[in-house]
Amino acid sequence: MIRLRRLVTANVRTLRQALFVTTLAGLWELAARAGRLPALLLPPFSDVAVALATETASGEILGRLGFSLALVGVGLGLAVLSAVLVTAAAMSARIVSEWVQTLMAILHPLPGIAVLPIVILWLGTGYRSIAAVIWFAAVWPLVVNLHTGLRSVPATQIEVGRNLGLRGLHLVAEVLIPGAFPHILSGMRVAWARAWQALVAAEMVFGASGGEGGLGWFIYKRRFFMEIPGVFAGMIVIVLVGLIVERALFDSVEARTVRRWGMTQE
Amino acid sequence: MRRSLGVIMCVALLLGGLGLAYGGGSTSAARSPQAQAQAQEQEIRIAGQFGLVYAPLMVAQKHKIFEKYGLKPVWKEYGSGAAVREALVSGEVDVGFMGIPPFLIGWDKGCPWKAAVGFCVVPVALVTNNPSIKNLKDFKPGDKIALPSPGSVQHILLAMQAERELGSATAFEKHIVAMPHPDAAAALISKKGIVAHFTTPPYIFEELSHPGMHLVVDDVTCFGQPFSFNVGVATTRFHDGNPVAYACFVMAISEAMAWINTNKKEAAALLAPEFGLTMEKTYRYLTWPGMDYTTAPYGLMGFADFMQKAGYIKNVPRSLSDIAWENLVAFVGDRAGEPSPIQQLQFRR
Amino acid sequence: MSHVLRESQVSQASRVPQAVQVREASEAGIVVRGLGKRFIAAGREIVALENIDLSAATGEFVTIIGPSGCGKTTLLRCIGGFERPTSGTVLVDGRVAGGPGTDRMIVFQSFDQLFPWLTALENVARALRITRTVPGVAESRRAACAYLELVGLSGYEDFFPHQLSGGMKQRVAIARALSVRPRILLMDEPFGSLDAFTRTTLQDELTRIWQETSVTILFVTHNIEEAIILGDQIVVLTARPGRVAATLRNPLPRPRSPEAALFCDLWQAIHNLLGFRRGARVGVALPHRRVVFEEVDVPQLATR
Repeated sequence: MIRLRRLVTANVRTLRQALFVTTLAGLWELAARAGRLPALLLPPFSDVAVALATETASGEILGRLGFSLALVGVGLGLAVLSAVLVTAAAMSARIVSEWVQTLMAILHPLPGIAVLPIVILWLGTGYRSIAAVIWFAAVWPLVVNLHTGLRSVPATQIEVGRNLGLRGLHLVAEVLIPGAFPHILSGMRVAWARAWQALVAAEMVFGASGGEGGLGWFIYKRRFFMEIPGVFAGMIVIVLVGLIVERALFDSVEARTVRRWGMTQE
Repeated sequence: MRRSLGVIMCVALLLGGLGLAYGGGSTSAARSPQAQAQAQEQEIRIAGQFGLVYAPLMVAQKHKIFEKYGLKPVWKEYGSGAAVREALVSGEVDVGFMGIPPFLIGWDKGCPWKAAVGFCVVPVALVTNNPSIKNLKDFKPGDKIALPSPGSVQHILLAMQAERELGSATAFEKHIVAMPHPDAAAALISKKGIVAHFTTPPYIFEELSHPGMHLVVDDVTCFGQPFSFNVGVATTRFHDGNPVAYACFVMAISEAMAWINTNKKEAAALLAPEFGLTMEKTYRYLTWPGMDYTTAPYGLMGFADFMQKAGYIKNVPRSLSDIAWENLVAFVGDRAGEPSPIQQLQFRR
Repeated sequence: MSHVLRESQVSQASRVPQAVQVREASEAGIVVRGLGKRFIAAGREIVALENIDLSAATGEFVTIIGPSGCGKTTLLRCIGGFERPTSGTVLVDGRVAGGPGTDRMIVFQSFDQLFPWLTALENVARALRITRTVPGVAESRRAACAYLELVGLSGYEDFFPHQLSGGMKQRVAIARALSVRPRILLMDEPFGSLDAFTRTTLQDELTRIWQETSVTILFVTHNIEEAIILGDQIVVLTARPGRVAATLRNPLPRPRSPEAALFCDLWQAIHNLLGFRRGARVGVALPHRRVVFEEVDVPQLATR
């Protein structure tokens, strides 16, 4: 019964949001069609929709999207791996923890894209550099959250674990990781968002390589050929992917875990 | 109550934003001849880029040549032809300098502008660090070719040569990497990621001075004859709204160019500090075989024809007057019967 | 098999005098002997506990009471193996107890001692799986169900901790601690954060559970009433450093009610003790009568 009501409430909200977005699109169309603004600056929404449809039909967008997602996957995967190693090192010794915290304070505010020139110098152009930028963008939020997550597990729960005879990795797996999960999840959220932004930015700044480019390169190329509806179409796809991952993946994982467990900090 | 207030405020904000966009449009449209004539000095906003190619602009700046014609120049520097084009489209500048392909792409999409002056003919070439690459057929699938951006002169030249050698203009679409010249030059020399670089002076000279580098193909081979690497583009708004300022602009550019051509030593001395090079080196670059600062347009129609056939643009100009202002149309002329040599220079051979 | 294991553990306890070990080895239950704990805080050495002696026979319910800051919790943590005593020994069934182990399960005061990502049932079942107390997942769940039933939580198996009240959470914690069949249950003010009503209910419940399982319980509290209602023995600690002021045998029959006259006297006696130093007379002089409570004879009290 409660579930049903929740479902209806959620859908009403979605409906309202959809209505709002549709209105915005309508206003956009009107503004563009009014003719005072050159179509080069603001193409009508319908043109963008057509571009989106054509580029999707031709397989162009899906190909680029696949490439982008694969790159983010590699970058994020490596980031998770290194965050785990760094955090493990930090947890093993106080001094390492201090180093990591200092390093975090220095490097965390640096946007991933800012390291691109150096990355190109070291790794050259191509997907390796983009993966490195994604890695850099994602690794710090992961380390920060993993670190705070592990530290925020109540001492009592750790002691219960020890009381039950858990030691070392068993204690980590049984108590620390689940206990830190809310932080781990929000770290993943931030890492994903930053990785996605870094990917698009990196591809646009150094233009990736033609056949191997992702959505950033798609937009970049359309910009240079002044296909403004295509630029907007690319942006829409980027937004959509962001939304889908955020809503379909993270929100549902959160609902199944952290919210179900009542481990939200609300 | 409070909620509806919020909604109203949001809507107001939205409408305000739209209004601003319209307002912005109409103010620039209102830059009428009378309004400009009232100004003592006529402001002209000029978009250029950095590099040897832009030497005439730098001379004009140093010698205050625009001021001599009663213009008040505002100099703006951009990183690519596309950025110059965007500055022109947004109404940020009145005239700008870019390669013929970016200019034609804009024209094709309806940018209200035409070419006002030719600017320079310079050597452009594809340089590789791989000794086994003798022509385009030798590139392997993973080989990356750096060029400034998609839709740049270099990109179109590569497409022209690809069509010639491999029968497909788009054969190298998967090989290209967009990189600024300095980064690409460094990458080519250190053999990091790219095997070839389609570039211009002084990077060509720099790259070729390293061992193991060689030239795969040059511009004249690609295009068939020399062409303007860069043209000066004036917006219709500027040209129509301010014919006197337009004429002064053409004259000022001409004078700056004439000065370089007649005073190369002095030009080198003047510009050496700007490029951070020695005077000797600057002089060597300015006088490199193939360097030609000239307001004569070369190759406008040739690029248009190719780009339309290869699918980079949809429209092709019916005549030069579609894409060039009257001074260029008059300059090139229209010979009865066989086209004149200067007319022939507008096409590929 | 288990006998061999026990002997090898005994031989490791080299710090304990041989004579004592032999004498205590036959004793079932828990013996704390001469336990002291000092630590350094802000550059100063603090004596938290000094020369604590206490014992509980198997199945006995011992309450430890003392003013706040007297080191009750430290004492329990030393016994539980979470802190290393500076001096003294803890013997469980005659064996020296070391680090934390399932023979001494602690029930904490804090409500967050349950794992929030597991349901009530899973919290117990998981403990059974981890300790391999019961073979198999299905077996564990069945056993866990039984323990939840024991603490009166049938029907709440699938509730997550955040859906349970404070009292229910403590019940689950008790079920979990009991499920792994400890030799002794160490309870650190488990009802300290509960409202008075729930607290009374849980005291009755705990008494019932104790009677049903006959587990040995060491129960720390700062509430005199609770100490009297629950304990067979009441260990009264003094403040800073924590010393045993007296160990009283509780003469009240169960179920105990605070209305009983003897209850009031015992209450008064403990109350007085808490205000006195060690060595004061264990008793209370009231206008209308004089009561003296029997002290438990803890073997080898240091200074007597």
